[in-house]
Amino acid sequence: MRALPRLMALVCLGFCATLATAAPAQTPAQVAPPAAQTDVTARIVAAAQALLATLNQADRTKVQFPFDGPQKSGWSNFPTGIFKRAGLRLGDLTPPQRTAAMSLLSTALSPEGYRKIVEIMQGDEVLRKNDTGPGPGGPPPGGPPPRAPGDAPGGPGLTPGGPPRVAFGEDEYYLALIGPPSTTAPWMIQFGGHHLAINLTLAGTEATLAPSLTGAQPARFTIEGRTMRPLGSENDKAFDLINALDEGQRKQAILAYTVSDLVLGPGQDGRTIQPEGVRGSALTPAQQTMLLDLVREWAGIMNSAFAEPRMAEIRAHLAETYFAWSGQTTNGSMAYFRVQGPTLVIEYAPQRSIDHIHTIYRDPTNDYGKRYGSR
Amino acid sequence: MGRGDRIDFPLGLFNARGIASLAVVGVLLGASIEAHRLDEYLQAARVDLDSTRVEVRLALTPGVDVADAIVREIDVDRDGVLSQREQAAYVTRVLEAVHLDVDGHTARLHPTSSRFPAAADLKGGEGTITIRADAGIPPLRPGTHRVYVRNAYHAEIGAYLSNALVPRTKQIAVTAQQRNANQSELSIDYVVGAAR
Repeated sequence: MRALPRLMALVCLGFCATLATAAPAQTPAQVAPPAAQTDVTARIVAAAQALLATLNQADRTKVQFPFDGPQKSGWSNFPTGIFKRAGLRLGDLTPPQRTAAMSLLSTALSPEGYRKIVEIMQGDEVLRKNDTGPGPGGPPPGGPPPRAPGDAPGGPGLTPGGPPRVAFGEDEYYLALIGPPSTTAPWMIQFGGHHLAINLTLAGTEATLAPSLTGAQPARFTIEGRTMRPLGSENDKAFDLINALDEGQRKQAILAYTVSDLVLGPGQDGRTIQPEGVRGSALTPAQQTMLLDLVREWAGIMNSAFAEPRMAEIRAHLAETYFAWSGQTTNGSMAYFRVQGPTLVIEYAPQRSIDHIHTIYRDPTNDYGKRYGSR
Repeated sequence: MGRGDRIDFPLGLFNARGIASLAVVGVLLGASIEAHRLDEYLQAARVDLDSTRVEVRLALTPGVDVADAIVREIDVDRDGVLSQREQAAYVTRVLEAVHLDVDGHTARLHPTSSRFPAAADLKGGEGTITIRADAGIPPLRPGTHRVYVRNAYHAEIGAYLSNALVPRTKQIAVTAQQRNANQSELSIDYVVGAAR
């Protein structure tokens, strides 16, 4: 079985690239000076240009989109076959191209963030291998059909007029560069597939990861004896926090109704719902630290040169940030939670099972880098 | 069953035959995505409060297993195109199942806009129908008020999300939201301040 070595190689790629490119900025709990952010942006731009250099003209056209066009919101949690993505499909890349694509991601993200997306992809690979359905959801004997020339973005699984042919696995993730890579002007890296939508907007010394979606199915899996839980820390830290609340705080935090899905998931850009739950100002300092540590699981996906200023911003609004919970409070049971503040929305929504999770991360003031303006 | 076979559901109904057919489609899609919300009709309601009107914004997303039946319910002439007339009739049908009252008085919702994806996108399970409707109300006096919304549309397959939006004016502040267990009912308590 080659899965674990491949995963380890990808994680190592991320770790090594991070060490090489952004070591000064990757120390937690420090706000990187603007010079560090400028340097990291330059390294991300260099990694994007290195990827573009591996592509022919047709693929360069396929991966690049105008910054002010509609591609920004072209993301989903659905797999190929239900949702049609644009950009470069990993499964269509040569090994050097694929290495360059993953190197770009590892440079743009923190080691923890990169590990998380690799594990989400790895989980989808497990899903593909375990998918034995006889119909369009499963691969035919002998593997999936080859991608035909001229296949629409979305891969070979689309059958116009017929039921969707759903495709899973590490090959079914797409990369798009929205706006020309720049050290000063806004541009965006979009990477996604089933249960993953990373939307990283960079603008010189600033960056935002909002909106981004992470998910997992299975949420726990084993590869060569090693248990993987791509979103395990999010789950565990949230249960730790709800169980750290006293009775009065829980009464405020726990909602008396079922939340069956993400409220502000894909397609819900620009909406601000009324916050609910217990306010950050009602938490003890220790509980506030736990809440921030939970938030870091999302904000910390991007390179720490940008994640630390983002955490400082969230910390500054902590008193006005709410924590809401729906479901049981024993870890291992199914529960939805939401963290919402003036510049933050996080939702964690199990999909009828603790083995299938959707999450969303938003900044109502800066989704897609709207603070940075257009090009 | 071949991939191109069609499954006929009764219009607007999900009886035993329909449910059995849904199960077949679910199997065809493979066990791995069964846990996605494929056999439910996700209906998100967002309520925007103002002192002279209440707006209800609905986002309706049929799961892929039920989407074909929903499309057939809209596309009554079966031509594969959701015409303006068919869309308008569907909006009316949806809104007839949505009850709104303000301070205990029923307020009639009037559609203001709607957007329908292509039938193929709906059938693929990635299409969302959006409907905006509002109800004019007499100018509210400063003080506490309550809006109640109940969505009974396709309750047999409905999965509901209901939320108040943050009011756009600072003269209105939401003070509480109560829902029933599945969120098909939402009460919003809010305070209207004195006009400045």
